[in-house]
Amino acid sequence: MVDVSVANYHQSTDPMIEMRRVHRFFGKTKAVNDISFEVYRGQVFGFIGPNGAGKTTSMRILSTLELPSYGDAIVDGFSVINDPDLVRRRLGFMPDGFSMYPNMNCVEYLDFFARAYGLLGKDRMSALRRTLSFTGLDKIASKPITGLSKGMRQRLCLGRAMIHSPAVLILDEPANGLDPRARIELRQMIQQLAVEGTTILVSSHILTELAEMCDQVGIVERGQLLATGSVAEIQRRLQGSTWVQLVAIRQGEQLEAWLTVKPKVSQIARTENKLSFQFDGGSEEQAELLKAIVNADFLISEFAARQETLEDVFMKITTGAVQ
Amino acid sequence: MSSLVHPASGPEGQGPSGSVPPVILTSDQTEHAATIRQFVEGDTPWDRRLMKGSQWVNPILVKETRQALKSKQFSFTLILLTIVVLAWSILAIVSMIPSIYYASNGAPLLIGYAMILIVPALIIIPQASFRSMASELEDGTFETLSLSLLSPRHIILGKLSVAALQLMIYVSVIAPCIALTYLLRGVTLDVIAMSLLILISCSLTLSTLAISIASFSKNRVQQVFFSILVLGAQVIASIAVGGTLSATVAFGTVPWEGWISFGVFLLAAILYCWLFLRCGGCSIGVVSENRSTPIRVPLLTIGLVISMLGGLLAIRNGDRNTMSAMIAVVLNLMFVHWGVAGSIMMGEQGIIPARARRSLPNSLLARLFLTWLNPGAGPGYLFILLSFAGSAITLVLSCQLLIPITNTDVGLHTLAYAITLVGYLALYLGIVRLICLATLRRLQTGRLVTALTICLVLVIAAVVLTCSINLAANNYQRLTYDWYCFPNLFWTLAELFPDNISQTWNSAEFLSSIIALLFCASVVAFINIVLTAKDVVILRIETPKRVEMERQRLRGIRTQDDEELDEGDVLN
Ligand SMILES: Nc1ncnc2c1ncn2[C@@H]1O[C@H](COP(=O)(O)OP(=O)(O)O)[C@@H](O)[C@H]1O
Ligand SMILES: [Mg+2]
Repeated sequence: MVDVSVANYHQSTDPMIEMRRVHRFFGKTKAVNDISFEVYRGQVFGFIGPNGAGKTTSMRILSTLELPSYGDAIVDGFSVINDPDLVRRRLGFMPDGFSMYPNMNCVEYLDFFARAYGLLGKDRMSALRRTLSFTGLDKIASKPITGLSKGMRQRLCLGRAMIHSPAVLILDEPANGLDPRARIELRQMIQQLAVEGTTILVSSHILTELAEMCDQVGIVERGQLLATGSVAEIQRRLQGSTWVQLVAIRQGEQLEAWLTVKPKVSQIARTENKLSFQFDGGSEEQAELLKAIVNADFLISEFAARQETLEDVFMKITTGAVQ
Repeated sequence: MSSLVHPASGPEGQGPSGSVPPVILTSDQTEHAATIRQFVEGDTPWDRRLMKGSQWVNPILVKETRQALKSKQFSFTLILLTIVVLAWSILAIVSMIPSIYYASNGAPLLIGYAMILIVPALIIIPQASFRSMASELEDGTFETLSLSLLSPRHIILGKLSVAALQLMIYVSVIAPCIALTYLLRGVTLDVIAMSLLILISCSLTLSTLAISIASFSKNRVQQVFFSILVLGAQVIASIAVGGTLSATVAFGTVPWEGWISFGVFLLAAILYCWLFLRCGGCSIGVVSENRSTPIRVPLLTIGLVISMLGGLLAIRNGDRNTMSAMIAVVLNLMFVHWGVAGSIMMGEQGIIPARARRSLPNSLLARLFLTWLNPGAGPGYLFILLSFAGSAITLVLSCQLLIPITNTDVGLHTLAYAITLVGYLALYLGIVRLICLATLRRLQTGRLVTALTICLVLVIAAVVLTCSINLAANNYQRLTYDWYCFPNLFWTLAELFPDNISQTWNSAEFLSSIIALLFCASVVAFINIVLTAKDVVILRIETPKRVEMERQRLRGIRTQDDEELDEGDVLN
């Protein structure tokens, strides 16, 4: 009998992170309800959803801190259920809260974890150097951690998570509560790590925050994955339509009547000479339509097409239901 | 004319890519390198050597020593201890000034120091250990710790070595004063040695228990409950140790019985600490691992040690009249040990995680004969019964063989006593397991405590029921034992105790009571064994190739690490 949950051999082309139909129930709450996705080496995967969607629970399952009620999660070919110790060796987890030890400074804190990860001698020293300079903590290395600002704490947490150069980093809402500058710095750090080959799973409840650094995003709500893919893909898939706004100089009523019979035009709304409608065509068809309007002798002063923003997409996918 | 809104404008209206210059990797390394070097490698050559040595030491010891050196609590306790010790020395010496040159005044002084040392050794250090472990679990720092390569064993031993280090510091503060008591005459070296040994061993035992018990608590309520339990144990231990120390010092010398008793105590302490540490390690360990079988090793060892040591003592000290009573006492001890362990074990879930199934025996024969080592309540029931019955009957028979008891009745009674105990174990544990099977299917946490509670409730209910029925049957006049009183194990055992033979054993009530007990026990045991039969069928799951390869690769590294870590630990 062979355990089917782990492939016998793991190729470098296989996913680094794999959620296989993971479920996690807390009593009646279905915190994670059948989530599956894959993340490949060096990719950044954004996990987006409102509060209570199940992001933290999924990430804790991947980090071996929580067991799935059903399903399995695989990190670098090892199951979080059966071989959590092997998973832990190649994984860094940054939780959303910050739990600290009193009476310690930043170097001592990182040094402790370097020791806990079995780094000895020169390795430990170089790991500390690398981490401190990467996170920019070297300036405040001897500050007690109880007095750190939120941004510095996040850096320290990131430093702790990456001290052993893990192949997979899991960051739970790392940008939460950071000021814009700190966010940008965090984004740069994450991108830098991804370039160096680390596979990163990062969560947020704000889509725009992740849109730029993620190769892929997954939108979760109520424990279910509603959409996955690159941001552009999701946008494309979900918005066949464009909103067009028209301002005519006169003859608004006639224009409305003219437009109703046109294909791909729907949901026309008009106030005086101002019209807006939904258009289901590509940009060429859009240009054709504009040409036709002008050829029909309508006098147009404004023509604006607006694609839905990421926020619109997000609002469209999620229902806002809370469990 | 057509204007598309950019799909992703940054948060707070920031442009898509940060206009802020990158901060990473640009900081001047040389400027801060000195600070880092100071903390990681040390300034002075002496520091550097210390730091270099410290990497072989348990990381938790290093971390907590650093924290302690900065914490107020530790320095405060240390200063206070020094002040109290000095004050007591001056006070005592001043009060004995007229006689100091000719009388022997060491004893009261030593008792004073011992009493002072009890406070940090038996109260403060174990409490600090408990808090240290409990707050680790409570604050969530344990989770980040468990993600590292530190095994539960390393974490617990790290905490324990912190306790040991603190104790060493406190003892060394008091050591010069204890030397003074020797100079003042009136105490011998063996008394001093014994006092210190008792204090140190009790302190370490309490710390071990505190750390293990702290790691059992999974929520706030349990934590409060356990902390009260630990504090109670500390108070009782402090009183007992205080009394023992005063008595030892007052006695003036340590007789050989004293050393023997201390040896027995030490053996028991070490064995139970081993058991508790294993349990603590398993309770904070990986859930999918086999967390049951490792605990059975210390359990079995303790059971065997009790039976062998008890048997030896009985043979060595007992004359023909008292020997069977001594054996019965040993049997009772074993019964309590296996009974408590068993009733906790009955709460184990029957599901064997896939990870644990990788190490199950594979051949049919091995499965038939080794299933009782498998995790879960069913195999646990078999394990407890086999272990207890085996060691109890071996004890009785070997005592019988080595020193034939002339009165054959006495020998038979001891054997019957042992069999009765086996019957009770089979009956009560079997019922507890059946109740757990029927009612606790969904319960995930707190199963073990629940099983223990069920067992206690059952035993107490049986006592109350049999006594009230018996009273009612006797018109509320008196209690007289009758056969239906067999579920009341205290009463039955008290009546059966091999000292009492003459009146009880031959009566029909007792025979029928024991037959009833054994009948019920066999029925319950049979049902349980039938229910366990499905465990024999559970097959091993092969370890995936990749996992095996990875483990093999790590084993090379791991064993090296372990050796290094073990060498460095202060108290492994
Ligand atoms: N330990 C727990 N016990 C009970 N319910 C929980 C627990 N952890 C999470 N939940 C519930 O699971 C749901 C998902 O939580 P979480 O994963 O933290 O969401 P997110 O991180 O997306 O905000 C929430 O409804 C939460 O109340
Ligand atoms: Mg969360």
